[in-house]
Amino acid sequence: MKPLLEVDQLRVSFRTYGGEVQAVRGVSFSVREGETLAIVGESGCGKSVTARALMGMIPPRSGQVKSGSIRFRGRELTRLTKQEWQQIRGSQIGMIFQDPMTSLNPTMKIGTQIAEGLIKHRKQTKAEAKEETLKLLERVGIPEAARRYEQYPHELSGGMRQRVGIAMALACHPELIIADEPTTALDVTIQAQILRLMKELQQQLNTSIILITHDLGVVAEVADHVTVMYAGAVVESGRAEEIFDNPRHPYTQGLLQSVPRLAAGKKERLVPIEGTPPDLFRPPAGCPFAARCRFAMEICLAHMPPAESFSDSHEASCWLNDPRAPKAEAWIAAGRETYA
Amino acid sequence: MLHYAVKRGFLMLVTLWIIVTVTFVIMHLIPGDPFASDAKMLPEEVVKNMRAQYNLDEPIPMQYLLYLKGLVQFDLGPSIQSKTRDVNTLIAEGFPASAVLGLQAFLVALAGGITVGIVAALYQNRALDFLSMFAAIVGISVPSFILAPLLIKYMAVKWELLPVAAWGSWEHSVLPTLALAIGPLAIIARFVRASMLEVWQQEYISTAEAKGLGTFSIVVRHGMRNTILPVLTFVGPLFANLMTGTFVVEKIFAIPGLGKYFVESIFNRDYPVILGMTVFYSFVLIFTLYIIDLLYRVIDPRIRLTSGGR
Repeated sequence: MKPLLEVDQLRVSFRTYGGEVQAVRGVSFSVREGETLAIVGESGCGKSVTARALMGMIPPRSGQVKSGSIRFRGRELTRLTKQEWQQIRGSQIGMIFQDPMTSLNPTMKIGTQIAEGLIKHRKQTKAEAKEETLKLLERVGIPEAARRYEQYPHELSGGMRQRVGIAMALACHPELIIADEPTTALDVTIQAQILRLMKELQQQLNTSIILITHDLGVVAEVADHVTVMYAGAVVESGRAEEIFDNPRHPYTQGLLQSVPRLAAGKKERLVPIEGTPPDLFRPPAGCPFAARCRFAMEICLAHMPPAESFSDSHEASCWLNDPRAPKAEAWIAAGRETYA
Repeated sequence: MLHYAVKRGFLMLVTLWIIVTVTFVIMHLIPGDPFASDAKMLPEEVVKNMRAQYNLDEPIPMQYLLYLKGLVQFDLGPSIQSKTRDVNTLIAEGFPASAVLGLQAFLVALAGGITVGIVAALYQNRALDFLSMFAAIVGISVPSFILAPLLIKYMAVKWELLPVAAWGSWEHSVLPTLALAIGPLAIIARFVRASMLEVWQQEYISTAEAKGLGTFSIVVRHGMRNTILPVLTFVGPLFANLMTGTFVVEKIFAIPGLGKYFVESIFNRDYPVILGMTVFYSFVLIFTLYIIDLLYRVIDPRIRLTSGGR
């Protein structure tokens, strides 16, 4: 089956007064129909920029998709005009935003905000769009839809607002939804509800989801595939169980070690990843993670490691996976010990 | 909403009363009185009679009470300077011209300022932005008494497009409207630009973009309301100022408005006119602010919930 979305060697840069920031440096991944791909990484690793590039929402004055391709249903998106993008946004690719406190217009009724996408893409009349919106509100678990339709964002709780955000993204039944940290701004109890709702709706509508997050707990709950990004590049990708059970990149291991686990014994300590990501004004020649890596070798600083395959879905870019790497066996054992 | 409207209405009256009182006191603190210059030439008896005619022989607290008594009957008293017309008549004669001119200038300034401001914000740091903000600086810096003669010289005298001065047909009002509007237009444009730039950074603009809306719908549906909010604060006093007449522009274009009474009454120590004009201006201002407050609630639903209903 052909993937719904194929991203190949995507590069995005921003012009700033300090020079050019290479926010996304050759990222590739694909999403199949009905599947959830999680893009994981710490702040500033290029996750959100990737998401915006997929929506054609890189601000044209400061940023630019430098090279690479984004193919959606076989159609190349990187060269679309502004008008063509407007046709796709909201109707074929929808987006859920991080903070429902700021992502809804405070001066507009939530019903109107959901309905306007329908009016634009489905050419519906106001009455038709309202009827559809009421159904959508019920579908995303907002009771008393008719009353809620008339309300403004400040009259709703955070969780309710995010449900509105989901209804907005789903309004025209897009085939792909990009959710940029959709639960980060919510209470933990609400997070679980929202994730469950997204999963339910995905099954009903067979929508594909790209979930952008830094929260591995969220990833474990919903993702089929995981792509780990670091400093604007993909360092490891694979099916969720491959990433959790057999992480092959020290950065992925570090991420997993920095998450608390209930099942773990009391003595297990969280291990932070020391240091900060590299400066993307001048990205390093070698592996971007080398400076923070406990296992760094000479070659890591000089040459970018190639992607090594471990199964037809699992890949990681780390010199330690090279057969010639001296510490490889011990390193892999150490990784397994912690996460088996 | 009704409760709020009534409460605000009462507070307006209190404010008005305070303004009258303060103006009354300040006015009488200024040395001299309306007949100070006449007193040297006229017999003492005549001056005394004249003072009695206008209640100026009463003690000041008594004068104050008499004035308030007239005020509650909507009688602003006689003009000392003009023997034939009282203050009510002066306002009734002058206000229509001032109001028409002011309203036109206000609408031009508002529509023009919002348009220029939004365009400048959308083209931030590009030629169109620099051009309009340069024009705005010029508009703010050039006072109307320079702008008005320039307009007359070119538009009326040199190119003979419009009448030079006087008040009558709609054509007569074009030049004074422009002369009045350009300053406020420039100020509004700068306000709107700053406000729009801030709104444009908001996440809900991205949300609107992600729905596939075009730039124009995003500006009109999602940008406008939020942009206008901070500008409203400035617009209230501006409206009151323009509506009650302006001395300079009305003088230059020979418009029979309110502006000149305001200034002349102070030189003439024409107590009832000073007070009457102040009361009238205050009333227009307070009433405008009241409307603006109600508008805030219409435009921003958050305000309704936080202070409404109580």
